[in-house]
Amino acid sequence: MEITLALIKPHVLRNTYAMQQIRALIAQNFTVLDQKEVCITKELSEQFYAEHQGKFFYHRLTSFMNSGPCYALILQSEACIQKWRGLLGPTKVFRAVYSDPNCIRALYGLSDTRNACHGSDSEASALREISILFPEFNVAVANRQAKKDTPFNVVLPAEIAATYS
Amino acid sequence: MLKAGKFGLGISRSYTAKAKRVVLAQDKSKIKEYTPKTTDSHENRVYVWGFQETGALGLQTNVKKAKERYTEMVHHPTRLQFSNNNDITDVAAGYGFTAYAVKRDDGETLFGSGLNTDSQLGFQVKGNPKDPANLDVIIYPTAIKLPRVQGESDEDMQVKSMSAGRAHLVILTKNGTIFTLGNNSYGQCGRSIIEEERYSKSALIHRIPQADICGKDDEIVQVECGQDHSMFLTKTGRIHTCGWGADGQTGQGNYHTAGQITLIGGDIEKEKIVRLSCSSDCVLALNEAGDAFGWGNSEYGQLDDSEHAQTQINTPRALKLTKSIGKIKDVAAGGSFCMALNDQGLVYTWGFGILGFGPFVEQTSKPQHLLPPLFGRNDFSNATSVVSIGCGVFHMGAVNSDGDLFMWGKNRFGHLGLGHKKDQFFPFKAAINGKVTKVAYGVDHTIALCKAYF
Amino acid sequence: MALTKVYDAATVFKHLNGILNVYKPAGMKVKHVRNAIIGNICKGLNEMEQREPRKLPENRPLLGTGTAADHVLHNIASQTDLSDHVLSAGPRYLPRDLICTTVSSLGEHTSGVLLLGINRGTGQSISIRKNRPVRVYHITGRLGSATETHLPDSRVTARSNHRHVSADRISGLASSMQASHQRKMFELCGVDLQTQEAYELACKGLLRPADDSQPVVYGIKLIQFERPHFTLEVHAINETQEYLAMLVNDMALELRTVAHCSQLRCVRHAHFDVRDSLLRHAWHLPGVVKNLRQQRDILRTHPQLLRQSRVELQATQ
Repeated sequence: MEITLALIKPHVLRNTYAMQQIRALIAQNFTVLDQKEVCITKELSEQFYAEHQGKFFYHRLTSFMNSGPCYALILQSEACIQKWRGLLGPTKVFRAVYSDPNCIRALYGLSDTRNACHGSDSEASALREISILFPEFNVAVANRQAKKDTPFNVVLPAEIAATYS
Repeated sequence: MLKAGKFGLGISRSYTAKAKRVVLAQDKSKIKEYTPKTTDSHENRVYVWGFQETGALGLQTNVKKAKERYTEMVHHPTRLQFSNNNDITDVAAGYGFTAYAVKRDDGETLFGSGLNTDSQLGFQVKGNPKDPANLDVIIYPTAIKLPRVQGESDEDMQVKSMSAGRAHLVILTKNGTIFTLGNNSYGQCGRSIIEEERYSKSALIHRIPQADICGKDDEIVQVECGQDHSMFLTKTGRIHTCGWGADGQTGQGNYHTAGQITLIGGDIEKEKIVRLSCSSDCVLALNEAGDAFGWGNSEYGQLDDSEHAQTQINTPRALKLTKSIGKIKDVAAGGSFCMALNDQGLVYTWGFGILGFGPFVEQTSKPQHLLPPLFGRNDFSNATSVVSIGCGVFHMGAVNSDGDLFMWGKNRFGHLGLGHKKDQFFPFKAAINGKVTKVAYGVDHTIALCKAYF
Repeated sequence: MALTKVYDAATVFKHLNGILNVYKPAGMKVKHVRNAIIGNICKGLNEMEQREPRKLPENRPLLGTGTAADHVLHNIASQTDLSDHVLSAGPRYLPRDLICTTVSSLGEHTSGVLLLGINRGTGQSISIRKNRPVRVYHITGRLGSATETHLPDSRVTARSNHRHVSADRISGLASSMQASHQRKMFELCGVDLQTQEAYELACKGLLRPADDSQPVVYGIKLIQFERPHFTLEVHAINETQEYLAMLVNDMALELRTVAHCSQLRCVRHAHFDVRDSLLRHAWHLPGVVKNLRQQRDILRTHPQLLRQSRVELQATQ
């Protein structure tokens, strides 16, 4: 199963109602492997958005992220990168409110920069972004864990296994 | 049978035989005296509508009751109970919170309700053990105590102008003191930025004497907030700004964040600016002669439509777009669109979004005017014209000379007040019982200050 | 065309077609007005030169009695048919010979313009009704007392003080009610607000309602205020007397007092003005004929009264 990084931006974290709704949506669709509140400093966000360097919005994107604490989650499900980006909707909030009025960004985004949440765009960038925000998180372990969790591959605890043998 | 009633002599009543028996036999002494409730002796009434869950509407008085009745949105303009007991003089709407300027005997001048996660409504304590533990959301207007220095009277503390941003609030009082509350991560409160400052449950209200901003000879007349920046307009028409400048919205000639309040120049350096409007990251200003100026975000061609136009303008410049529409009386800047009102009472809109020209979301850099019949002009009221305009991030509004409010745009959480959730593609009258005098357009709620008819 | 004097009833009756504009007095039902007008027309017709009684056919085989009286009988029978004589058959013109329809009814307490379609004018009256033209009323309200039906001839239910009411306040409220009604008009004209069509209609201004189920008020204006009486000018479609009386009552409650409607006068119905209206003392045949001619001229200058192609409303001035 895929994993992705979901980053809830500062202005939504402050809006208790929006936060509640987004959490409910996540709980419905994904397994949360890890979550924490992170303060994204200038250095961290520059590292995080390295791919956008040189674009006109790079500066405002990086400076927006440090307006307050963010909330980062590692989500897991089948095709979760696509699924999460689907729930988020188009990047540009002013367009999303008309083209896709029920997505997270249309509902809780404020402007094209203050667009509520971030989602990784590919498997590689998901891993890269997770390693920036969750340096302690071990992807391999998570994958193994996930395999164990699948119903066809149940590993019984030792004592139960003993009674069966 | 035919009786000519004449004024002055009193109008004679004519009765049918049956009516005569019923009416003339009535015992006049038993007629009830109708004395209407006069609890509300105040001039101003406040109507609120839009998203309720943040508490910004201030309609709930009890947390428990609020939970029972599931009313996430208020689609119809609803009378604010708080305005019945208080004389509200001004309102300001931010993202999920509202501030009310109040005239009261006990000396409180400022109240607020809604989100308080960044202490944008001041430090609130549990007054009653029954109050919810979570004071991040204030559901009923609560006093915000402005710190006073010795000798400041209640009159000095009356609010002259106020404005709210995403998570900060700027107040200008009668005696020319500026108070800023809430988030300062970009310096939008006009003080230097402190790394990792905690804004939640902070009791800090920053106080700036106007002389510190514009000197002794000038005075500040209006404050205006974008989502993350603040601007101060002085009597002589100068503008001072602080806050987030990543789109150039501070107009300081750079894209930095500024914790220091700075005088800005550019094309407005020698102009006398009389009005300033901003709801997100695009700013419009108006000078005495009726020319418009703009700076900040222009990603949707709001400020410049030339081929290689910059999308972020960091220095105020005279707008070429609005040259053709004559003398401008009022301007308003939304998230992705702008509005202007000229001296003939015509409303012009341009930019991206629902501009009021039918059910097409459109993008245009050419200001076009909406026809006067949309704002209530017709054969029966042919002198009606628009007198003021305003807009939030996603919606627009105009008030006409009869005091009717017309709204259109994206209907985010019902903040158009039309009674439904659907978007409105041309100006439509909001049902408000009173003459609208001022409207505060928030991100997902709207507040109207009205005068009663009686 | 030179005017010739006409003396015989048949010619007059032949030309007795069209729309009639009658001033209905207050306190009189439309039915009674109609009967009075028709009665007077018949009376007038019957006073004119009547046609002669029918002649009996010549050479009718008569049963003779065989006496000398035969000759006399023959003589009588060959001249006129006495059974057709006015004295034996009764008046030539009876109320039931005239067809008369009202364009729209007015309540008992309402006075003013009442349009009647006479004989072949019925068709016109139906087309005018279907076009739903605007009627203009002058409504006088009396502040200080409310009645059961909101009209003057019923029991007083409440009294109230009205010192705080001023002309400014009433006109402010009137303009707001006007705007609210214009908003309602949109819902009644049967267009979906989310469409381009709705926008185009809105740009045109006022619209006519799609059916006659709901009253629509287009304009409310205060034209006179003389405590305790105030007079409103109301432009409306599909309204009834009760609705207008209710309007006065609602306005008073909004002004924090009570009132009832003391006078209602319809001053204009489409282009038919109260000034051209036939007053009660002129409800006779010459008056009716003259009035029919006047209204025919109005219809000729405003053909849209009969055939309406536009959905938006124009002022009728």
